[in-house]
Amino acid sequence: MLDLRGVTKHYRTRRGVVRAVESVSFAVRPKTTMALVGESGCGKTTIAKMILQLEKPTGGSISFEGRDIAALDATALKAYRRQVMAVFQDPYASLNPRLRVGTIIAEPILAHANPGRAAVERRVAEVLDVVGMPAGAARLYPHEFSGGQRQRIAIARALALRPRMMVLDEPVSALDVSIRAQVLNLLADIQQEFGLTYLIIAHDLALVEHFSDDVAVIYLGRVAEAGPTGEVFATPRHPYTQALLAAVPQPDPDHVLSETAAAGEIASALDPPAGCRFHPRCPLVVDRCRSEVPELRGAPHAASCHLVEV
Amino acid sequence: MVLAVENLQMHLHLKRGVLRAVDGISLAVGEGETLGLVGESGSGKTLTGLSLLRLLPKGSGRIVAGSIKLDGQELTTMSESAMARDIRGRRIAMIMQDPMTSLNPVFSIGDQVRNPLRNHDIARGAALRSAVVDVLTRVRIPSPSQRLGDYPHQFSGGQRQRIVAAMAIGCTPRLLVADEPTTALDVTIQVQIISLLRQIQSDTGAGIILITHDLGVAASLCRRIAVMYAGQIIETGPVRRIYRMPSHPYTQALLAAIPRLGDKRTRLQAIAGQPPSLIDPPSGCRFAARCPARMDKCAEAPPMVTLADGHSAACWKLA
Repeated sequence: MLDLRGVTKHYRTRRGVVRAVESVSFAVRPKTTMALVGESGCGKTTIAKMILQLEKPTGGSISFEGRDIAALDATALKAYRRQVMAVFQDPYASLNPRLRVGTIIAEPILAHANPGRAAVERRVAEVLDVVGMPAGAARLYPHEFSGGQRQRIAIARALALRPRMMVLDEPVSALDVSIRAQVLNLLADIQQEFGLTYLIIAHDLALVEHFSDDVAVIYLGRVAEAGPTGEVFATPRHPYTQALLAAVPQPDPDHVLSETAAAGEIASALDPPAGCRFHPRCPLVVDRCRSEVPELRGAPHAASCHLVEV
Repeated sequence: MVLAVENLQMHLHLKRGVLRAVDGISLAVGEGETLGLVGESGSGKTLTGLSLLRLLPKGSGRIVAGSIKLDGQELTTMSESAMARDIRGRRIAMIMQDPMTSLNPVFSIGDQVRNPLRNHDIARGAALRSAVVDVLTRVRIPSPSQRLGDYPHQFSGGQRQRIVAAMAIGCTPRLLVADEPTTALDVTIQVQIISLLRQIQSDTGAGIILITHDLGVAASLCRRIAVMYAGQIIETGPVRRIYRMPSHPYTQALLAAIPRLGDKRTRLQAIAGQPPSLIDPPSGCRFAARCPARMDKCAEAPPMVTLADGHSAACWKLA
């Protein structure tokens, strides 16, 4: 469905070149959920922005159903935009406080066509119903809703044009625990009902394990490990994935956290370490890691680590 | 007991009405003990923490009833100047969620760690400088003596939170209120701060109140847990009892609603609805509207039922 090949994004700044994303490749299969995980600053949101064409890659290609999205003409690009929608993290920032909910949801419809007032109103009521909100919500303003309800409204807006794919950037991390489950279940139901493909960006590993079919673990702009979610979580191959999993606090008082799996802190993308970007923090580092960039090997469950046997 | 709170009520007097933000909280923290105050946003956990320091929203916030005793000394009736001189930052210190907002960007970190030490007369002159270096060493800031003149933006997020912790522990407080100290941090950095809090506690014997919405973080740090819902503590007990034998339907629902590592792809158990408004809250059980075990009796306020040593829950089902 969606295919990234060697996608790279560099930003030129006064202090030098920020290597935000470096040669990232992965594919999202139709009607499945692919997750990108990693710590802040690892480049996962930059990848999402390039997919949404909010940023242009410095190198590599992104294709949707076999067509390079950088080469689309204006009409094809518009068609692409209605097929790939986004839901962002903060429903307080992503909904315009001055517009009524009905207007917010109708905006993408009107940006692409004008089917007439009655048809727009009907569609708004339909998608509100899909996300479990009453039709009357259309007349109210965002501030009259709680965080969970606002995220439902953001999802309704994304659904308005019947997209085929949704990019979900931390869709529940701004919500409370009891509300998160409601929104995640809603997203799962919608996916089933409409056959949607999801790309979810998240830092919560338990959520990713629960919600996705495939996963790519990103570290400092590179894919450290990728594969079917069940396998990656059950037998993580890359020392970074192992460190991440060991560091997640579990709701279990007898669980022992590993304090040593990843010492130190993530390096700057302005001056990423040579060789494997994880090597300064890696407990298993050998000489080769300091000079040679490891390739991502071993697909379908691939890792980019010199120490991994394929 | 380092801290004993009895029936604390803190109300916010707003234009819309009286918001019962903290509504009859009782809790206790012993020497070297960590109490987890767990709940969702709006449950009153942060305002409970701020009430202990009598840091209330100006104009609207008022402690209307109850008592707060620190080492036996009553704080609710203490004068404002005595609170500022002897309590805040001295005997009760606070670590806030976001180190970017708790550090002042225009002062060097040396200045900011020095201030509480100087204001509370902990040290002067050369001793003051060495105390600053010492406390920064304890929170594991690398080569602290060379970095006293550096500003917050020159440090990473994890290091900034360590500096905030240094400001809090410099005066060796009796009680540390840590409000979501790891929430803004990445997991690999979060682990480092959790281990720092453990170390601070074993070094100083301070009591810690950890305010968090993250049941994982609470489980890894706390000896006892108090679960808050809509301004009240609805269940409290030793950490193993709370996670293994949660008794209040809300605690049970909360634990069932979080995805866990190692779980297969199954449907999460969502809690329908949302918490009630604390302006004019329901007179009975505040969770009743969302509770799967609701009975007629829940229209009356439920009693706090003791289930085992130190474990109690406020629910009619258990009465």
